[in-house]
Amino acid sequence: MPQKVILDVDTGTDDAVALMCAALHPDLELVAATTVNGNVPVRNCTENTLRVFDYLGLSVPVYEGLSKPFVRPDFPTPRSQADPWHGEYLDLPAATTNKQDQSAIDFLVEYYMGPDGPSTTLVPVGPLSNIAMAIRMEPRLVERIPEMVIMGGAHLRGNVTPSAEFNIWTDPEGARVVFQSGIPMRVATYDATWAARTDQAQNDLLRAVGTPAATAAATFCDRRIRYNQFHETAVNDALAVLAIVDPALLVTKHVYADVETFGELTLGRTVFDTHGRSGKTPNCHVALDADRDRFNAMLRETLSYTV
Amino acid sequence: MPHKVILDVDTGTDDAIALMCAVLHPDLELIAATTVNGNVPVVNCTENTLRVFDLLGVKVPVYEGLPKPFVRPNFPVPRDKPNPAHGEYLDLPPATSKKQGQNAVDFLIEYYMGPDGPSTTLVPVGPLSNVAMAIRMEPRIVERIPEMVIMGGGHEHGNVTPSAEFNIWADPEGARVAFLSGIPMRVVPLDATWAARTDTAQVEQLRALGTPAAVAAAAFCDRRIQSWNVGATAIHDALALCAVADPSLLVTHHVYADVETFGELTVGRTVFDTHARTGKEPNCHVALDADREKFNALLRDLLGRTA
Repeated sequence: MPQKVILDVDTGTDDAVALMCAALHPDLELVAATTVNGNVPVRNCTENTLRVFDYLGLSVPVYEGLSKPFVRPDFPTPRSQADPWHGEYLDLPAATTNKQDQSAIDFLVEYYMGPDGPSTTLVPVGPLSNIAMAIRMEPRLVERIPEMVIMGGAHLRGNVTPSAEFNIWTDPEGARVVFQSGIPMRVATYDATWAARTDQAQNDLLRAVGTPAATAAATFCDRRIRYNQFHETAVNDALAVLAIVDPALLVTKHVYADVETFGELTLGRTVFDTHGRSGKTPNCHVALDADRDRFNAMLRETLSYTV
Repeated sequence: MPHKVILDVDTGTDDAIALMCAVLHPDLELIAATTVNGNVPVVNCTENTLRVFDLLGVKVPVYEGLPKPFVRPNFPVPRDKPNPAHGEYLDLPPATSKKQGQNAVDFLIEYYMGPDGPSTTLVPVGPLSNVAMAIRMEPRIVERIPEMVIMGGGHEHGNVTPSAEFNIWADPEGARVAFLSGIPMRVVPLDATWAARTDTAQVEQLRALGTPAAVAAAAFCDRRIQSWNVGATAIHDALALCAVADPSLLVTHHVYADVETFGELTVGRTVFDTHARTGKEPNCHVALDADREKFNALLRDLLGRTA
């Protein structure tokens, strides 16, 4: 029986690829998508998510979540223009379906307190605002979510600052609530997603698969490769999704992890205690490396499916 | 002509080995040692430094520096007991020679404003309190110090916290003043010193040399290995000192570097902008790797000598 998953997304080009992987992989059942302010404003995330499902001809419910971080009125440095990696909207036809009326937070609480909660993996691949809210709204949730596979954080290199990765930096307090919640978690960091990056040749192989999903993903990756200084791209969020099917994609260490919420230079840094300096019990399986060839092959295979 | 160096030390077992290497290195001329609160209280650092010079039978002037960090009244977490890697005093006979009357900060200013300043490398291998003080006391000193080779910081891991290395953590504000001073610098963090580690077999090779310096260094290494129980020790400060004469010991990257002084989890973290996220001009050659075999062979060569 396929593994149930809920994706919490800020769609976004790599989120779009992750959504397609979750929708198409035969070993996964995508129960719903929840959206959150991140790569683009939350309304755009919702529209983009609906566009992806419409494009594939799927009806997966989409619940809109927070338009701001958990505590802060905005990102540590507010967005000044559309991020070229994502654009304002995905380059897909406008959505014809609609989001659900229920908010993402209410949905997450209701779903996880319901019968299928304990068998559904939560996959947050955007800022952790919705998840933090849900945990504070319904503290019993932490006993109901069997595992989170999070895309976020960085150890040796950030992507927004030298210290911090975008998803965690955009909502450090939200991320901290989630990291400290006690919910079992695997964290796919930027170190791992970059290790599993896709270059132009691999992207051309993907396009050659020829299915609607592969073609769209290759177009999204083209944009990402174009704006990357090394002309390669990490397809961050898709790695987190596929790691549910194949944990061997990730090279993980069991460590204590926390999030810096005060630093001047290090705000939003994920602190992974890789050498046991804190003396605290590990709360996280962090991936600092990943299997690049295996991931790219799996991406091609997954996106070769049609609905 | 040998290259002039001044060592700023918090002696300390690894400082002691660095001091011996500086004295015995045919290509280096150790002008003076300045002491600073760090591994042990500054009074003990001074006594330990004198003990090392007495052991080797050399007269190198020792100037005592700050008993406290540059800004803080104490370390971020005050010392509660002697660090077992150093003990209260080095296991050497009490010193019979005396420290100088002048304090370390005044000495550094007078020396560097004098004729030999611009040809003398400053090698700070303890907290950067003295160096920060000298820079603020005499701002022109930044034009007079040709290079600093600093032992401090950690990128992949810390040793006091998951994020921070002792020398920087012990005086984050002092370190920040030194890092942002504009003085050309090479920084040797834990990443490099552990890459160049010395294991028990290498310690035995050292001891077998039978010279006073090698025997003492081997005993210091024994203590260090015992206190960490990982079968090896990083002789941090000696690597920085040896790199003055042989830069090829280090694998460096030219990056912008700064020090976190506010973080809750990350205070004292050296932030190395290895992927140019800040857009700031590089101010530092940071060593993230080192040549282990070459360093250990050099240690044997130097410590096998007599003064």
